[in-house]
Amino acid sequence: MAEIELSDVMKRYRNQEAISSLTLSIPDQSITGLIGPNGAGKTTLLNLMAGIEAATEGDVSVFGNEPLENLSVAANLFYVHEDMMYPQDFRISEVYQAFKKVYPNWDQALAENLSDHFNISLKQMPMDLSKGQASTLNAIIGLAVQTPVTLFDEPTTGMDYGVRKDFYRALLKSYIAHPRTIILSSHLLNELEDLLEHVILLDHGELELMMEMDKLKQYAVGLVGEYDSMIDQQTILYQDRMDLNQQYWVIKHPGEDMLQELRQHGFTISPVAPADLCVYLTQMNRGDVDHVF
Amino acid sequence: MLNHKSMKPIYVQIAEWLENEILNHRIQAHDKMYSQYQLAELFNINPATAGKGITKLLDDDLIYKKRGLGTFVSDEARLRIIQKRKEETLQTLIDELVLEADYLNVSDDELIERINQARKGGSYDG
Repeated sequence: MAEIELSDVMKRYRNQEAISSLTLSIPDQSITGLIGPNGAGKTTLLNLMAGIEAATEGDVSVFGNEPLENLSVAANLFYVHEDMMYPQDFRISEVYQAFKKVYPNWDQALAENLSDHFNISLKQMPMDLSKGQASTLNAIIGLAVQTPVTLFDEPTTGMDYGVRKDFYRALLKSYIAHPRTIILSSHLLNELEDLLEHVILLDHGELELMMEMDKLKQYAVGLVGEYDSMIDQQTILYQDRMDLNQQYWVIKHPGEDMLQELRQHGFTISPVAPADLCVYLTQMNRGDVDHVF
Repeated sequence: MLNHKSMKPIYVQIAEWLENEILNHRIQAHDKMYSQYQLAELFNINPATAGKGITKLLDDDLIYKKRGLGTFVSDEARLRIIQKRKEETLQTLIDELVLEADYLNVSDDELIERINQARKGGSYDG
Protein backbone atom coordinates (compact mmCIF):
# COMPACT_ATOMS: atom_id res chain seq x y z
CA MET A 1 0.00 0.00 0.00
CA ALA A 2 1.32 3.43 -0.94
CA GLU A 3 1.78 6.16 1.66
CA ILE A 4 -0.99 8.21 0.09
CA GLU A 5 -4.07 6.59 -1.40
CA LEU A 6 -7.45 7.94 -2.37
CA SER A 7 -10.39 5.73 -3.09
CA ASP A 8 -13.55 7.07 -4.72
CA VAL A 9 -13.10 10.45 -3.09
CA MET A 10 -15.64 13.20 -3.63
CA LYS A 11 -15.52 16.66 -2.12
CA ARG A 12 -18.49 18.97 -2.38
CA TYR A 13 -18.69 22.63 -1.35
CA ARG A 14 -22.34 23.71 -1.14
CA ASN A 15 -23.60 22.51 -4.51
CA GLN A 16 -20.24 22.46 -6.27
CA GLU A 17 -18.21 19.28 -6.62
CA ALA A 18 -14.53 20.23 -6.37
CA ILE A 19 -13.36 16.62 -6.58
CA SER A 20 -15.40 13.84 -8.19
CA SER A 21 -14.91 10.10 -7.67
CA LEU A 22 -11.13 10.31 -7.53
CA THR A 23 -9.13 7.11 -7.05
CA LEU A 24 -5.36 7.22 -7.14
CA SER A 25 -2.25 6.24 -5.25
CA ILE A 26 0.76 8.53 -5.08
CA PRO A 27 4.07 6.81 -5.87
CA ASP A 28 6.24 6.68 -2.73
CA GLN A 29 9.65 8.35 -2.70
CA SER A 30 9.15 10.23 -5.90
CA ILE A 31 8.46 13.78 -7.04
CA THR A 32 4.96 14.08 -8.47
CA GLY A 33 3.54 17.15 -10.19
CA LEU A 34 -0.12 18.07 -9.74
CA ILE A 35 -1.21 19.94 -12.85
CA GLY A 36 -4.48 21.33 -14.13
CA PRO A 37 -6.27 24.56 -15.00
CA ASN A 38 -7.65 26.90 -12.34
CA GLY A 39 -10.54 25.30 -10.52
CA ALA A 40 -9.43 21.77 -11.47
CA GLY A 41 -9.34 20.78 -7.79
CA LYS A 42 -5.58 20.81 -7.14
CA THR A 43 -5.67 22.71 -3.86
CA THR A 44 -8.72 20.77 -2.67
CA LEU A 45 -6.90 17.51 -3.34
CA LEU A 46 -3.85 18.68 -1.38
CA ASN A 47 -6.08 19.91 1.48
CA LEU A 48 -7.68 16.45 1.64
CA MET A 49 -4.30 14.69 1.72
CA ALA A 50 -3.02 17.08 4.37
CA GLY A 51 -6.10 16.50 6.51
CA ILE A 52 -7.09 20.16 6.46
CA GLU A 53 -10.46 19.22 5.05
CA ALA A 54 -12.60 16.10 5.17
CA ALA A 55 -13.81 14.31 2.05
CA THR A 56 -17.56 14.39 1.51
CA GLU A 57 -17.43 10.76 0.35
CA GLY A 58 -14.74 8.11 -0.07
CA ASP A 59 -11.49 7.31 1.72
CA VAL A 60 -8.30 9.29 1.98
CA SER A 61 -5.45 7.31 3.49
CA VAL A 62 -2.04 8.68 4.51
CA PHE A 63 0.35 6.16 6.08
CA GLY A 64 -2.71 3.95 6.44
CA ASN A 65 -4.64 6.55 8.44
CA GLU A 66 -7.42 8.98 7.74
CA PRO A 67 -5.37 12.23 7.80
CA LEU A 68 -7.99 14.48 9.38
CA GLU A 69 -6.75 15.49 12.86
CA ASN A 70 -4.36 12.56 12.96
CA LEU A 71 -1.20 13.16 15.00
CA SER A 72 1.03 10.69 13.19
CA VAL A 73 0.04 12.21 9.84
CA ALA A 74 0.66 15.71 11.20
CA ALA A 75 4.17 14.70 12.30
CA ASN A 76 5.11 12.96 9.03
CA LEU A 77 3.45 15.15 6.43
CA PHE A 78 4.21 18.80 5.85
CA TYR A 79 2.05 21.02 3.69
CA VAL A 80 3.45 24.20 2.15
CA HIS A 81 0.71 26.57 1.03
CA GLU A 82 0.01 30.26 0.58
CA ASP A 83 -1.89 30.77 3.82
CA MET A 84 0.77 29.48 6.19
CA MET A 85 0.62 31.34 9.49
CA TYR A 86 3.50 31.98 11.85
CA PRO A 87 3.22 33.44 15.36
CA GLN A 88 2.94 37.21 14.92
CA ASP A 89 5.70 38.20 17.33
CA PHE A 90 8.24 35.62 16.03
CA ARG A 91 11.28 36.52 14.02
CA ILE A 92 12.23 34.04 11.27
CA SER A 93 15.03 32.71 13.49
CA GLU A 94 12.43 31.92 16.16
CA VAL A 95 10.13 30.33 13.60
CA TYR A 96 13.03 28.04 12.61
CA GLN A 97 13.70 27.18 16.27
CA ALA A 98 10.04 26.25 16.69
CA PHE A 99 10.21 23.92 13.67
CA LYS A 100 13.38 22.39 15.00
CA LYS A 101 11.57 21.42 18.21
CA VAL A 102 8.63 19.83 16.40
CA TYR A 103 10.28 18.09 13.44
CA PRO A 104 13.10 15.67 14.31
CA ASN A 105 14.68 15.78 10.83
CA TRP A 106 14.64 19.60 10.61
CA ASP A 107 17.81 20.71 8.78
CA GLN A 108 18.78 23.97 10.49
CA ALA A 109 21.89 24.47 8.35
CA LEU A 110 19.89 24.09 5.14
CA ALA A 111 17.23 26.55 6.39
CA GLU A 112 19.88 29.13 7.34
CA ASN A 113 21.95 28.71 4.18
CA LEU A 114 18.93 28.91 1.89
CA SER A 115 17.68 32.01 3.75
CA ASP A 116 21.08 33.60 3.27
CA HIS A 117 21.17 32.61 -0.40
CA PHE A 118 17.73 34.12 -1.01
CA ASN A 119 18.51 37.27 1.01
CA ILE A 120 15.99 36.61 3.74
CA SER A 121 17.28 37.92 7.06
CA LEU A 122 16.56 35.74 10.06
CA LYS A 123 15.88 38.90 12.04
CA GLN A 124 12.87 39.75 9.89
CA MET A 125 9.27 39.06 10.89
CA PRO A 126 7.56 36.73 8.38
CA MET A 127 4.65 39.18 8.08
CA ASP A 128 7.00 41.92 6.85
CA LEU A 129 8.10 39.88 3.83
CA SER A 130 6.94 40.65 0.28
CA LYS A 131 4.70 38.12 -1.44
CA GLY A 132 7.61 36.55 -3.30
CA GLN A 133 9.78 36.42 -0.18
CA ALA A 134 6.93 34.91 1.83
CA SER A 135 6.65 32.13 -0.78
CA THR A 136 10.40 31.65 -0.57
CA LEU A 137 10.29 31.39 3.23
CA ASN A 138 7.48 28.81 3.02
CA ALA A 139 9.42 26.86 0.42
CA ILE A 140 12.61 26.91 2.53
CA ILE A 141 10.69 25.54 5.48
CA GLY A 142 9.13 22.87 3.25
CA LEU A 143 12.60 21.72 2.21
CA ALA A 144 14.13 21.91 5.69
CA VAL A 145 11.45 19.98 7.61
CA GLN A 146 12.31 16.79 5.66
CA THR A 147 9.12 14.99 6.54
CA PRO A 148 8.54 11.67 4.74
CA VAL A 149 5.77 13.37 2.77
CA THR A 150 5.90 17.03 1.72
CA LEU A 151 3.14 18.76 -0.23
CA PHE A 152 3.76 22.08 -2.00
CA ASP A 153 0.75 24.04 -3.27
CA GLU A 154 1.93 26.47 -5.97
CA PRO A 155 5.19 27.05 -4.06
CA THR A 156 6.66 29.49 -6.58
CA THR A 157 3.82 32.04 -6.61
CA GLY A 158 5.36 35.53 -6.68
CA MET A 159 8.94 34.26 -6.99
CA ASP A 160 11.21 35.74 -9.67
CA TYR A 161 12.34 33.39 -12.41
CA GLY A 162 15.84 33.23 -10.89
CA VAL A 163 14.50 32.35 -7.46
CA ARG A 164 12.21 29.70 -8.96
CA LYS A 165 15.14 28.09 -10.75
CA ASP A 166 17.19 28.04 -7.55
CA PHE A 167 14.26 26.60 -5.63
CA TYR A 168 13.84 23.76 -8.16
CA ARG A 169 17.58 23.04 -7.93
CA ALA A 170 17.46 23.10 -4.11
CA LEU A 171 14.44 20.78 -4.14
CA LEU A 172 16.25 18.32 -6.42
CA LYS A 173 19.42 18.32 -4.33
CA SER A 174 17.45 17.96 -1.13
CA TYR A 175 15.52 15.06 -2.67
CA ILE A 176 18.73 13.37 -3.85
CA ALA A 177 20.18 13.67 -0.35
CA HIS A 178 16.95 12.50 1.33
CA PRO A 179 14.58 10.73 -1.07
CA ARG A 180 11.02 11.24 0.09
CA THR A 181 7.51 11.65 -1.26
CA ILE A 182 7.01 15.11 -2.70
CA ILE A 183 3.95 16.50 -4.46
CA LEU A 184 4.07 19.89 -6.16
CA SER A 185 1.07 21.62 -7.65
CA SER A 186 1.95 24.15 -10.31
CA HIS A 187 0.84 26.10 -13.33
CA LEU A 188 4.37 26.03 -14.67
CA LEU A 189 4.79 22.47 -15.91
CA ASN A 190 7.37 23.61 -18.47
CA GLU A 191 9.69 24.69 -15.65
CA LEU A 192 9.16 21.45 -13.73
CA GLU A 193 9.58 19.00 -16.62
CA ASP A 194 12.97 17.64 -15.63
CA LEU A 195 12.25 17.64 -11.92
CA LEU A 196 9.16 15.45 -11.93
CA GLU A 197 8.98 11.69 -12.09
CA HIS A 198 5.18 11.51 -12.25
CA VAL A 199 2.44 13.83 -13.43
CA ILE A 200 -1.17 13.96 -12.30
CA LEU A 201 -3.44 16.03 -14.55
CA LEU A 202 -6.74 17.08 -13.00
CA ASP A 203 -9.63 18.73 -14.80
CA HIS A 204 -13.05 19.57 -13.37
CA GLY A 205 -12.18 17.62 -10.23
CA GLU A 206 -11.51 14.45 -12.21
CA LEU A 207 -8.36 12.57 -13.03
CA GLU A 208 -7.52 13.33 -16.66
CA LEU A 209 -4.33 11.29 -16.57
CA MET A 210 -1.57 10.10 -14.30
CA MET A 211 1.68 8.88 -15.81
CA GLU A 212 5.44 9.03 -15.70
CA MET A 213 6.88 12.24 -17.07
CA ASP A 214 8.98 10.26 -19.57
CA LYS A 215 5.84 8.59 -20.90
CA LEU A 216 3.92 11.87 -21.00
CA LYS A 217 6.65 13.30 -23.22
CA GLN A 218 6.16 10.38 -25.60
CA TYR A 219 2.37 10.42 -25.36
CA ALA A 220 1.81 12.69 -28.36
CA VAL A 221 3.63 14.07 -31.38
CA GLY A 222 3.17 17.22 -33.44
CA LEU A 223 2.81 16.94 -37.21
CA VAL A 224 3.03 19.65 -39.82
CA GLY A 225 1.91 18.90 -43.32
CA GLU A 226 -0.86 19.12 -45.85
CA TYR A 227 -4.19 17.49 -45.25
CA ASP A 228 -3.75 13.81 -45.43
CA SER A 229 -5.96 10.84 -44.91
CA MET A 230 -3.03 9.11 -43.23
CA ILE A 231 -3.91 10.72 -39.92
CA ASP A 232 -6.28 8.72 -37.77
CA GLN A 233 -8.98 11.21 -36.83
CA GLN A 234 -9.60 9.40 -33.55
CA THR A 235 -6.12 10.21 -32.32
CA ILE A 236 -6.17 13.97 -32.97
CA LEU A 237 -5.78 15.92 -29.73
CA TYR A 238 -5.42 19.37 -31.25
CA GLN A 239 -5.25 20.98 -34.67
CA ASP A 240 -4.47 24.37 -36.01
CA ARG A 241 -4.04 25.85 -39.48
CA MET A 242 -0.52 27.09 -40.17
CA ASP A 243 -1.18 28.73 -43.56
CA LEU A 244 -3.21 28.00 -46.68
CA ASN A 245 -1.62 24.60 -47.28
CA GLN A 246 -0.07 23.52 -44.05
CA GLN A 247 -1.76 22.31 -40.94
CA TYR A 248 -0.48 21.46 -37.46
CA TRP A 249 -1.84 18.41 -35.69
CA VAL A 250 -1.13 16.97 -32.29
CA ILE A 251 -1.92 13.27 -32.31
CA LYS A 252 -1.40 10.40 -29.91
CA HIS A 253 1.94 8.77 -30.62
CA PRO A 254 1.17 6.30 -33.44
CA GLY A 255 4.28 4.14 -32.96
CA GLU A 256 7.72 4.47 -34.55
CA ASP A 257 6.85 2.65 -37.77
CA MET A 258 3.89 4.91 -38.48
CA LEU A 259 6.00 7.98 -37.63
CA GLN A 260 8.57 6.84 -40.17
CA GLU A 261 5.83 6.46 -42.76
CA LEU A 262 4.44 9.92 -41.98
CA ARG A 263 7.94 11.34 -42.32
CA GLN A 264 8.32 9.71 -45.72
CA HIS A 265 5.05 11.31 -46.77
CA GLY A 266 6.53 14.71 -46.07
CA PHE A 267 5.22 15.40 -42.59
CA THR A 268 7.50 17.28 -40.23
CA ILE A 269 7.39 15.65 -36.83
CA SER A 270 8.11 17.40 -33.55
CA PRO A 271 7.79 16.59 -29.87
CA VAL A 272 4.93 18.10 -27.87
CA ALA A 273 5.90 19.81 -24.63
CA PRO A 274 4.06 18.24 -21.69
CA ALA A 275 2.79 21.68 -20.64
CA ASP A 276 1.17 22.17 -24.07
CA LEU A 277 -0.16 18.61 -24.11
CA CYS A 278 -1.88 19.19 -20.76
CA VAL A 279 -3.54 22.32 -22.18
CA TYR A 280 -4.72 20.41 -25.28
CA LEU A 281 -6.08 17.54 -23.19
CA THR A 282 -8.05 19.82 -20.89
CA GLN A 283 -9.14 22.07 -23.75
CA MET A 284 -10.75 19.10 -25.48
CA ASN A 285 -13.17 19.07 -22.57
CA ARG A 286 -14.32 22.62 -23.24
CA GLY A 287 -13.33 23.66 -26.80
CA ASP A 288 -10.89 26.46 -27.57
CA VAL A 289 -11.54 30.14 -26.98
CA ASP A 290 -12.47 30.74 -30.64
CA HIS A 291 -15.77 28.98 -30.01
CA VAL A 292 -16.84 31.84 -27.76
CA PHE A 293 -16.83 34.36 -30.62
CA MET B 1 23.79 19.18 -23.21
CA LEU B 2 20.12 18.18 -23.00
CA ASN B 3 17.91 19.12 -25.91
CA HIS B 4 14.28 19.56 -24.96
CA LYS B 5 13.21 20.14 -28.54
CA SER B 6 14.51 16.73 -29.60
CA MET B 7 12.24 13.75 -30.20
CA LYS B 8 14.69 11.75 -28.10
CA PRO B 9 13.57 11.18 -24.52
CA ILE B 10 15.85 12.69 -21.88
CA TYR B 11 16.93 9.27 -20.64
CA VAL B 12 18.07 8.33 -24.16
CA GLN B 13 20.01 11.59 -24.35
CA ILE B 14 21.65 10.70 -21.01
CA ALA B 15 22.53 7.24 -22.33
CA GLU B 16 24.04 8.78 -25.47
CA TRP B 17 26.02 11.29 -23.43
CA LEU B 18 27.47 8.42 -21.41
CA GLU B 19 28.25 6.52 -24.62
CA ASN B 20 30.09 9.59 -25.91
CA GLU B 21 32.10 9.74 -22.70
CA ILE B 22 33.18 6.16 -23.41
CA LEU B 23 33.79 6.83 -27.13
CA ASN B 24 35.98 9.81 -26.26
CA HIS B 25 37.99 7.73 -23.79
CA ARG B 26 36.92 9.96 -20.93
CA ILE B 27 35.65 6.82 -19.20
CA GLN B 28 37.77 3.72 -19.82
CA ALA B 29 36.92 0.02 -19.65
CA HIS B 30 36.41 -1.06 -16.03
CA ASP B 31 36.16 2.53 -14.80
CA LYS B 32 33.31 3.27 -12.44
CA MET B 33 30.29 4.69 -14.18
CA TYR B 34 28.45 7.80 -12.94
CA SER B 35 25.71 7.00 -10.45
CA GLN B 36 22.12 8.03 -11.16
CA TYR B 37 22.40 10.63 -8.41
CA GLN B 38 25.56 12.15 -9.90
CA LEU B 39 23.85 12.32 -13.28
CA ALA B 40 20.70 13.82 -11.73
CA GLU B 41 22.79 16.60 -10.19
CA LEU B 42 24.92 17.12 -13.26
CA PHE B 43 21.96 17.44 -15.63
CA ASN B 44 19.44 18.84 -13.14
CA ILE B 45 16.98 16.02 -13.77
CA ASN B 46 14.96 13.60 -11.68
CA PRO B 47 17.14 10.68 -10.51
CA ALA B 48 14.59 8.21 -11.92
CA THR B 49 15.18 9.61 -15.40
CA ALA B 50 18.94 9.40 -14.92
CA GLY B 51 18.45 5.82 -13.69
CA LYS B 52 16.68 4.91 -16.92
CA GLY B 53 19.68 6.16 -18.87
CA ILE B 54 21.94 3.87 -16.87
CA THR B 55 19.53 0.96 -17.31
CA LYS B 56 19.71 1.45 -21.07
CA LEU B 57 23.51 1.00 -20.93
CA LEU B 58 23.08 -2.08 -18.75
CA ASP B 59 20.57 -3.55 -21.23
CA ASP B 60 23.05 -2.95 -24.05
CA ASP B 61 25.81 -4.68 -22.02
CA LEU B 62 27.94 -1.55 -22.12
CA ILE B 63 28.27 -1.51 -18.34
CA TYR B 64 28.09 -4.17 -15.67
CA LYS B 65 27.07 -4.17 -12.03
CA LYS B 66 29.24 -4.97 -9.07
CA ARG B 67 27.03 -5.58 -6.12
CA GLY B 68 27.23 -2.74 -3.61
CA LEU B 69 29.88 -0.92 -5.62
CA GLY B 70 27.96 0.50 -8.54
CA THR B 71 28.30 -0.01 -12.28
CA PHE B 72 31.49 -0.27 -14.36
CA VAL B 73 32.30 0.03 -18.04
CA SER B 74 32.45 -3.30 -19.88
CA ASP B 75 35.54 -4.49 -21.68
CA GLU B 76 33.98 -4.31 -25.10
CA ALA B 77 31.84 -1.22 -24.46
CA ARG B 78 33.65 1.09 -26.85
CA LEU B 79 33.65 -1.40 -29.74
CA ARG B 80 30.00 -2.21 -29.15
CA ILE B 81 29.09 1.48 -29.20
CA ILE B 82 30.95 2.03 -32.46
CA GLN B 83 29.27 -1.02 -33.99
CA LYS B 84 25.83 0.07 -32.81
CA ARG B 85 26.27 3.67 -33.97
CA LYS B 86 27.29 2.43 -37.39
CA GLU B 87 24.28 0.18 -37.68
CA GLU B 88 21.77 2.63 -36.25
CA THR B 89 22.75 6.30 -36.30
CA LEU B 90 25.04 6.27 -39.32
CA GLN B 91 22.74 3.98 -41.32
CA THR B 92 19.73 6.23 -40.63
CA LEU B 93 21.70 9.25 -41.80
CA ILE B 94 22.77 7.40 -44.91
CA ASP B 95 19.18 6.38 -45.65
CA GLU B 96 18.10 10.01 -45.33
CA LEU B 97 21.01 11.15 -47.45
CA VAL B 98 20.12 8.71 -50.20
CA LEU B 99 16.45 9.68 -50.03
CA GLU B 100 17.28 13.37 -50.40
CA ALA B 101 19.77 12.64 -53.19
CA ASP B 102 17.05 10.72 -55.05
CA TYR B 103 14.62 13.62 -54.66
CA LEU B 104 17.23 15.91 -56.17
CA ASN B 105 18.31 13.48 -58.90
CA VAL B 106 21.91 13.49 -57.65
CA SER B 107 23.96 10.79 -59.38
CA ASP B 108 26.00 8.19 -57.49
CA ASP B 109 29.22 9.78 -58.73
CA GLU B 110 28.21 13.23 -57.59
CA LEU B 111 27.03 11.93 -54.22
CA ILE B 112 30.30 10.11 -53.60
CA GLU B 113 32.33 13.10 -54.77
CA ARG B 114 30.37 15.31 -52.33
CA ILE B 115 31.05 12.88 -49.50
CA ASN B 116 34.75 12.84 -50.38
CA GLN B 117 34.84 16.64 -50.38
CA ALA B 118 33.08 16.78 -47.04
CA ARG B 119 35.59 14.36 -45.54
CA LYS B 120 38.41 16.57 -46.76
CA GLY B 121 36.70 19.49 -45.06
CA GLY B 122 35.94 21.43 -48.23
CA SER B 123 32.67 22.10 -50.02
CA TYR B 124 31.60 20.62 -53.33
CA ASP B 125 32.10 22.93 -56.27
CA GLY B 126 30.87 20.50 -58.95
